[in-house]
Amino acid sequence: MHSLLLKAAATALTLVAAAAAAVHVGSHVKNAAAPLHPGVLGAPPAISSPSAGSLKLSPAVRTSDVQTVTSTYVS
Amino acid sequence: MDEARFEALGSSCHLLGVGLEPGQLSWAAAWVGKMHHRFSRFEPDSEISHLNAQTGEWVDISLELEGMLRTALEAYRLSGGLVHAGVLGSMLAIGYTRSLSLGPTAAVLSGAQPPPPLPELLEVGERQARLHDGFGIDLGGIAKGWLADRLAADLGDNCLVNLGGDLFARGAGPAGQGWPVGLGGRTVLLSEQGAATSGTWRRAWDQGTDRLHHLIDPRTGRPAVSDISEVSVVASRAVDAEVYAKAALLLGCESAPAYLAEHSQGWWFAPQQR
Repeated sequence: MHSLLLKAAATALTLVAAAAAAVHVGSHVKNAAAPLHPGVLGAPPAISSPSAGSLKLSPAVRTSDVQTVTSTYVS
Repeated sequence: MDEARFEALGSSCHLLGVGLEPGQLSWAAAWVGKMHHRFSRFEPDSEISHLNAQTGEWVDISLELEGMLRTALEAYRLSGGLVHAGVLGSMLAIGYTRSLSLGPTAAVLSGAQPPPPLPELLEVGERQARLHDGFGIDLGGIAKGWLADRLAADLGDNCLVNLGGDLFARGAGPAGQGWPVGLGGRTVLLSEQGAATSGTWRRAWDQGTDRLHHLIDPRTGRPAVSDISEVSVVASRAVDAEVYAKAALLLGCESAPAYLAEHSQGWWFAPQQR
């Protein structure tokens, strides 16, 4: 009888904890649109965006709208 | 078009080719891996580690290392001393003692001193070289550019070799108009041309209040302080583009355009954010 009571109490406690956790998680849904914190390691700073830079090409180098196959980058 | 991507030389590598023989890309990737083991200063049994460990005496070297060391001397001349392969002492002093994938070690900035002119500490002969006592060589980007040029010459008539951003495009590319390459957010068509990018925001870390990075200014022996954060350059060879990009970054916004106009075929640079 004593062990049956203990089992029932443990089961009830587990169910209450699970229900409380579900309520807590449901009311604290993560904003999927939030920025990553910390920033992704190795990502370039905003200053290296093309619009912030200055491009000069001689006639030996042509530009194109073709999709690039690879890029030069800082390593 | 066939392509292969892999990690080597502490960087991401990308090989592309049109009309290659079967197995050519696998051979090329294995070759790059072998070169990494021969010329990385982080490999204790590499040729460059062997040279750095035997200062003061003439050391037998391979044809490839002779070529890289001669190129390093030429880079020093072309850059007015700004591209200096003899800054190993500064690299070690700032804590760049091992691959940064393992993290830097503690810096001792008092040990980061300007080196003497490269020709005074490095002599290169036929299949041999001598470093003066107390100095060492870090080939860095010079090795990547040199290897990209070399591999492209062997890989095929229509290929592109990109070793950590130092690249050489050979032939007419996949559509016959040149290889479309990203540079500064644009697409440029390259054929029989190299490109490279230099910047201070990668391989960088904080130590206390100091912001440290791998690009050493030989005038100070310390990580470069520049008003340019990143430079990309097109030149006739990958190794030339590497040299011009690094020199331009060290020159800064005021002098870099004139230097690049004289030496390169095209460039893009971004100023530091203030």
